[in-house]
Amino acid sequence: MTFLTKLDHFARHIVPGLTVAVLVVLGLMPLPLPYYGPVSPSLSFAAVYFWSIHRPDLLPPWACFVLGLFLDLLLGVPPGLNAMVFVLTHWILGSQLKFFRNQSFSVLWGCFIVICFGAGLLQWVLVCLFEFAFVSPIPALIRAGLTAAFLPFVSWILGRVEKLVLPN
Amino acid sequence: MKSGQHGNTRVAVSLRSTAQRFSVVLLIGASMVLMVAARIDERAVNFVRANTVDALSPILDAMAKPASFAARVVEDARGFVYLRQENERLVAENIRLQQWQNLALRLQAENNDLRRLLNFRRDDAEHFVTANVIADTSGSFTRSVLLDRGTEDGVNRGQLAMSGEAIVGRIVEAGRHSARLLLLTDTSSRVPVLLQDQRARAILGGDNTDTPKLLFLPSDTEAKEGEWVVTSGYGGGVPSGIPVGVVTGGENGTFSIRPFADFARLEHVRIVDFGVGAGDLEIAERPE
Repeated sequence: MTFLTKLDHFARHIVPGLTVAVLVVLGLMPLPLPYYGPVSPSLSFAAVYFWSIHRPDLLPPWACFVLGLFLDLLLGVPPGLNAMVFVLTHWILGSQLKFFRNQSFSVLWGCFIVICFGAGLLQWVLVCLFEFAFVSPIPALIRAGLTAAFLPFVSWILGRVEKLVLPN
Repeated sequence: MKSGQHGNTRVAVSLRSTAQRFSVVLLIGASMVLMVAARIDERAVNFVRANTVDALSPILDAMAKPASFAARVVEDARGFVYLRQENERLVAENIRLQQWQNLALRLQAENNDLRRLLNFRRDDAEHFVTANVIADTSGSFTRSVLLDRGTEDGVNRGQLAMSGEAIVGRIVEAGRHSARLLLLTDTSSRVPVLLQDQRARAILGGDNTDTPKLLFLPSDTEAKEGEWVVTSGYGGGVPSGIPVGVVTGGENGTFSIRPFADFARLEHVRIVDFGVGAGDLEIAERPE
């Protein structure tokens, strides 16, 4: 393997992680929409879901952890909050990979809705614990719903990326 | 031979899955430890956060530009549609503001005279820095934005940020070229305030809704709907009399405040360093 092929191989293999990182940054774009910020969908979470099913080998648990931590540091939330959810999602999907691989998109979408609400509730409980205060769960639930609604869009884009960059 | 190879593969696969499971447990444990550690040593976390944001600020800055351009286009289009109504509204407002300006000038002259009589020392804001909002980091549990100015521009932790004449929030983390602004609506935001008419002191505490609440208001005080809330200057760092918001209603002795600042359309903010002492700003009168 020459140096260039090695480089090409490496570049292709970091694509899943890179797309998640790009979506993390894109999610921070200040859009002048009222009430948008608190409920803005977590596109990066949808991307973690996508890659965990399609190419879990290229998005290992540690990468999920690092990307989640990156999101946490940028958002200013307790570090580990999204990292934990990313790792857990990857693990749940990984342990049932055979089931998920053979499903139609509508079933995958249904599962994602359940996972989004589960993740939202888990984060809400953790934030209440760590802030020693009752925080309203409603924005987290709306956000979970919006994130779930964006899965087809994110899947479509990432599907294209996968076909283009990772043909095998 | 073949069965031996098979056995080896099986062992390798099971070892791999055990290692993976172990790493998942380890990473989840690390997340928990990090959350607890962040609670214990906030300074270290702030340092890491500020440096991460700093490193990324050129990218965030570049990305905020098209967003703000799009916002301006939409705003312009809306402006054209309502040009006529907007003009009528502005003419009427101009007449009203001119009356206020006359009053303000008269009051300012009177104020200056009285200050001279009292030998009052005027502590103006030490400096202003205008910063662009480069990222909206508000989420389900936080209300904050990132700014493109940091310690090298004189922006430091604890400083106030204003939009127009109203308070938006406070700087909670400052890197060299970026800073995090905690909005008034965040759960951890606390600003000492005063009911302008009744002179009753309270703390304005955010609760992640659009209407922060008045905390520690003396029990015999009933905030009236429409009453202005201004900073009290208690606790230092924040001068008194800066407009914060207006009382919108109350339930069971808890009063909600609608901040004057429009958080959905924050593009630029003014970061004000008042030093340790209190300062005072231009007159802000309540329009009738």
